[in-house]
Amino acid sequence: MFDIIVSTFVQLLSGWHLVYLLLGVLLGLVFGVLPALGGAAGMAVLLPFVFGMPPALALPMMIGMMAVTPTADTFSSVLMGIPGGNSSQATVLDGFPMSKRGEAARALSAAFTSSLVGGLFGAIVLTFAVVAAKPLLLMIGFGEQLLLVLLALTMVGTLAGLNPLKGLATCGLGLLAGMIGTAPTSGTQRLTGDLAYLLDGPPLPIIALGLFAIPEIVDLVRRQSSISKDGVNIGSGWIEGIKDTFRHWGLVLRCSVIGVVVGAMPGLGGSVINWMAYSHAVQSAKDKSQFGKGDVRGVLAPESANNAQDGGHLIPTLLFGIPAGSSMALLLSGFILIGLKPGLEMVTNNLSLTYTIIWSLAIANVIGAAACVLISQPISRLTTVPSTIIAPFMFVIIFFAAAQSTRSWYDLIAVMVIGALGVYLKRFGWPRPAFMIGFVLSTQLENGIYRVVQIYQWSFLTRPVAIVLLLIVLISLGMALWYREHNRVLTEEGVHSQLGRGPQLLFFGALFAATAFALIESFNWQFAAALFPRSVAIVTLLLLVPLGYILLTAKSPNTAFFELEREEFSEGVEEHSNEYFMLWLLGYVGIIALLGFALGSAVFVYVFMWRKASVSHLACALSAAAVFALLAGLNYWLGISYVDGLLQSFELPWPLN
Amino acid sequence: MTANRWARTLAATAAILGAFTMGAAAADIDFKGKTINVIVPYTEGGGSDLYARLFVPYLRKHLPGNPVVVIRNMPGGGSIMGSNHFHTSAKPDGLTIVATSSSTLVAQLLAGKKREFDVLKWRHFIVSPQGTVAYAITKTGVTGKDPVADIQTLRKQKLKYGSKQPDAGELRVILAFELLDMKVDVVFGLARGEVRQAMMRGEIELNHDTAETYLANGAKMEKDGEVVPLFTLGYPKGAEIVRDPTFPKLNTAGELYEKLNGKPPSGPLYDAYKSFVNLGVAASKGFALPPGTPDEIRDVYVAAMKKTIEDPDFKKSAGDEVGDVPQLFGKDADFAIKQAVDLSPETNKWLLDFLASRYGFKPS
Repeated sequence: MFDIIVSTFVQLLSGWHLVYLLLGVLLGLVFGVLPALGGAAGMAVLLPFVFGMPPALALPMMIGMMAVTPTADTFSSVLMGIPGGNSSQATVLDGFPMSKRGEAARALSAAFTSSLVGGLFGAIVLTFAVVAAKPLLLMIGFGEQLLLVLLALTMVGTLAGLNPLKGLATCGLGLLAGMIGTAPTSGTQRLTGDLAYLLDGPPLPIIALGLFAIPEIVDLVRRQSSISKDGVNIGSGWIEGIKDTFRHWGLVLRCSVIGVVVGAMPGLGGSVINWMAYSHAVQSAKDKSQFGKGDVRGVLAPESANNAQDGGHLIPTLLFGIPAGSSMALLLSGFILIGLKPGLEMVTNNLSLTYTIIWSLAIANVIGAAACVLISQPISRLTTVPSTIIAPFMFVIIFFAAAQSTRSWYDLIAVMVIGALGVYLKRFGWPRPAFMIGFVLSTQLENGIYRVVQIYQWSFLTRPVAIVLLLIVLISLGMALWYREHNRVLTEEGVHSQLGRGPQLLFFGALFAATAFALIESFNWQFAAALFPRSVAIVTLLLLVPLGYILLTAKSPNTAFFELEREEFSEGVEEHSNEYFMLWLLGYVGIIALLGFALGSAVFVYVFMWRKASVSHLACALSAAAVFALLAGLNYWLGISYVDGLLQSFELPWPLN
Repeated sequence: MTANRWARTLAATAAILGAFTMGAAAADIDFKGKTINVIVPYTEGGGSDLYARLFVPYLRKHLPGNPVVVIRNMPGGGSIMGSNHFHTSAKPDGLTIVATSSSTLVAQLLAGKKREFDVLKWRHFIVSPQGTVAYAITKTGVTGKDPVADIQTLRKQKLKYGSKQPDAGELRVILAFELLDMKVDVVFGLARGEVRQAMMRGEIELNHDTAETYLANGAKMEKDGEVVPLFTLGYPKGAEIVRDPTFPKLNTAGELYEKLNGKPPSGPLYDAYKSFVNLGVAASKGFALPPGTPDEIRDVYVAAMKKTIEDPDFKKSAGDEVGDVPQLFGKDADFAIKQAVDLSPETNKWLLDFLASRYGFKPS
């Protein structure tokens, strides 16, 4: 075994193998940097080229591409607050506040270094797992999978914010949102409003963009400052970020373990792992006060986990030929195209190719992280650009990313609706991560319960792994209950004031009505399809009722209250409301409806910069032209298509079509 | 729009009209300088996406004028979104095609009013049949020595089988179990790979795979004595169902029925089963042109597909996915689609009653 490990390493570093690996890494960087285009889209672009290539060349290219996307997608998460991919949503929570504090370079280099550690850790585990993991993985049955989902759910406790009623109710709303779509047990359509778009449920990237990116950027343009208020020491932070990784090496290592273990197990997708790692960071920290405000540990945790999870995902993919997620599915397709049959034979007869995969994973992680660290310093300067100049580009990126879900109009409308929800959740202090976790886990929780009842009833709890997992669940639950943030002084001037509660009550009423609506609707559904949503709706209402009582009657500041509008704005700033900028976005959607995405985006950038940033028409025009050229280039080189407007119903030459 | 472009469009239109009226040879159609959009109503990485991606380089190679061919993934609504878009907005000029799969055909039967497309109006130019094998774990007592005895062994037990949801292509296998009078509890919300893994853990007893997946994964488990193949769903030949050419030794579910009951199967259950065999086996994946596309354009596509299938490079890279079974072109493809989704009123009623009473499914 060891001679194979060494010989594949030497082979990989020689001649064309390295060139193909680098090509893959380069493509992965491009796809990683563009939000919502992750490994799956990159793999789709690569596939035509791997036809008939020798495996020893094709594998480094494919793995190289896949390995660096979770590294590179950190850029938009940290710099702009736009989740770069499904596996780096949690990075936004502390990464973006760090940028705002002028520590973008530190956050980025911490992210990349921990990504590197996670990626290498994943590769090491994979090295041994491919020969030994099969019996272990077969111990993870449906019962154990359900306990994993429950474990992830208990972690909400730490992300629920100050008011447990509010936090748990938000999680309940997320669970309900996750149940929109076709119920698997009966094919019943739940809360789809008769739209085909919602049959598969609202797309995850849309929820992430709407909840996290839109509110942050609206907030940013309202304040009219640059992302980081003082950009003095931006350049010097990157060494600090590397140091951070080693300062918190225990956390980075533990999160790498979470990534690789949960990634290898069936049942929990990649979009949950980064949240689990983040929650673990919060749970295990002594001083939790800085999380959500720019604690570097909140960046280290998800980033080490999401690179480690590739190594984890590869274990079942190689061992059983069962892909974990869509980029793995495409990787499997690639395997088939170059004549490899994934499965146990990979490990017995093709061991050298298996180690080519592992080495490619390791080397790509090193190169990718190094490249990202190098560019992190100059690219961090973006955060010193005034928000009114950079915001239009960020909105274009959000809409671009959103429309990658189904390439239809509904994506743009959906991201606007979720964006509005996100703006108010943020304004009134309903914890968005709790909503997100509920949403991500909803389907797995419901399916898991049905499966276990069908197959085991309760008997799975006598299985050894299940017992261990159950204990972990209970410990996690205990920690969530035990943990409370104390000694916070609530004042009538602060955000928790009881004064001016009208808007809060209005929003509360809307959420209450939505939950009640889901409950009433559920009586039209087939019983098995209605049971779970009905239970969740009832529990959520039970949480909302006392909360509503407090909101209505409390005479002093209370954690139930939250009004971000009470925070001070910088002086001398022309003040506009959230709604004002949401209208701008609506206008943007309108222009896209007329001119199509590419041209509409250019016009939007021009008008926004002209009206808001008071720069010259020439600068506006140049920016607009740059946006258009970039979008056209993406279409030309990567075959990415956009939403059409009225203009495109006429036959036009490229790039106008 | 440039004058040049106009000229080309006019020329193309003239060519199409000319071909239409004078019955000129298909060679007049030339896609030089054009871009052909392949709408794939699924997300990147699914089986139908891979199928489309296998063909794209060869479409370019073998269509006259070597056009640029690009894939547009438009997932959503279990293929309904992309298929609706294709049906309502694609022009019959040969520049837009759609990738079809059994989910699209199931949607044709069961999607209710969300469906704006009609696959019977589409001009299919190729469908690629893919056999289906049902198998069971040996823990149930099946041996593979006597297929009839194996079914009788299984009939005495309560069995579990995994499927995505009631209104999906897997219904073909559920109907086969029903035909053979097996008591099967279906665990929903599972993909095929998950079911196979659950079988290895002994949590689920029954599974099916397409022929190629079975050869890649199930065959190894069969050799290790973990599973035994029970039957294939057979292979439609005209209106009949014959043995699957990939597994000539395995009975079809219909043959087993006859051996168990002493008479050939008939009635609405068997008719529904046959329709789903066409849907999930004969027309499992394919490509179509929009409604109203002239025969001449379709003939050009059929010719390109025939060349592709014979192309040695294609055989080498795609052999495993497309298999060595004969492909259905043009009119034969249309026939298979019609067999799949053109149910008689009583069969349709039986199917809806079955889904409603068994799983509480109602089309909306």
